[in-house]
Amino acid sequence: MTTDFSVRQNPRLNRLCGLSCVMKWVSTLCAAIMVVVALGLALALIDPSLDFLATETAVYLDEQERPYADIPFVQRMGILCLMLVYFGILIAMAWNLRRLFSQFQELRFFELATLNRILLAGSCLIAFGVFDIVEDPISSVLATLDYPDGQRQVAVGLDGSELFFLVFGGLILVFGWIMREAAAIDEENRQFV
Amino acid sequence: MTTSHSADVLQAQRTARLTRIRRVSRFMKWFVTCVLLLLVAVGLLLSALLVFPGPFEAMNEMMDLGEVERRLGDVPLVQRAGVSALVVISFGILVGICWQIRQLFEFLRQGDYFSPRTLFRFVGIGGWLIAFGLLDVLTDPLMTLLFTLDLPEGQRQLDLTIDGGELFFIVIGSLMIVFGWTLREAAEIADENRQFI
Repeated sequence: MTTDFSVRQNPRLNRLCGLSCVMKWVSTLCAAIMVVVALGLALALIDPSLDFLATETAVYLDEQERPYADIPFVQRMGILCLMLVYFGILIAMAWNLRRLFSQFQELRFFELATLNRILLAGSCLIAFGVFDIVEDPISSVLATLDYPDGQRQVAVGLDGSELFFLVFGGLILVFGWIMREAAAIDEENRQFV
Repeated sequence: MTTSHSADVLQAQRTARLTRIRRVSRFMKWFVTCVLLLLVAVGLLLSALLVFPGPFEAMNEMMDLGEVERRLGDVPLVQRAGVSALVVISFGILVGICWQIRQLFEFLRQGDYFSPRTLFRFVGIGGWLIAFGLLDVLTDPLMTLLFTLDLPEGQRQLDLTIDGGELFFIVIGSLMIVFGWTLREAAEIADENRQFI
């Protein structure tokens, strides 16, 4: 639905623009922070002597934790891949929000491009929820792969926040889809007229 | 002839789309309603069990409170009622979230896609989410305190922890409020502009 938002003097529109601009930069900042944290962790995983750069320096297992320095290199690289996917999804989510708010700032509220962003945000939330569930068992296996048989661990767990991501992601996805369909109908109507 | 044919095709596409939207919205509305009813039932059952553990044969249930464990039957009634009230509030907030989502899909089903009242639902959802996040932070310490209130001094417990999940509720809640408020303003301005024309 495209609406004539050309009356820029409208104070309400100005307020919307301002708020969207702030949110855009907040999302950008979040994305940047996550890039920095991911880089620190990646360096600590590649070379454990750099662990002062990382927010975490060990893999948490059932009753113990295993510092990165004790884990063989190949297994550490596996954990690194996992971590890159994890942060990749988070950064994609923040970047997607940035794009969404930048569309809002340009006063393009109900256009297909904007509504596609909402769909993408929902998909990111679902991807994050699913990955959060599978990440724990995989990383525990990777961290204990060199242990003798019987001491290897598979940690499986499901907590409320993972479910929350899945449910909320699903809701946003459906909402985005409905709005996009509605906008498509609107657009067709206008072309036809 | 061709124009009218393509108009027919367009019309058919449009109808198909609208039907699809309505069907999905109706499904979501009833799905969320079922979740809501389930939450009400579980909440009521849990709070009844806490106040009157006898009939549920839960007197010997062990309450895990950080470092100590306590039999539910040993906790005085007043304190159990306090915990029960906390449970009711938590579930009340979850029901509030579900109700807002239910209304959202009901409005979408009615075809109110870009109207202020539909988009304002997001502000409601965001508000409830923030309330849930804040309560979640307070629930654990309050519950342990209530469960150990009658113990001699020194054995009473109060522990406050914040984990990622609670922060996520608050962050996503705030995002929802900003998102909903922005879209509602946009819809209202669009409405006004249309009236003006």
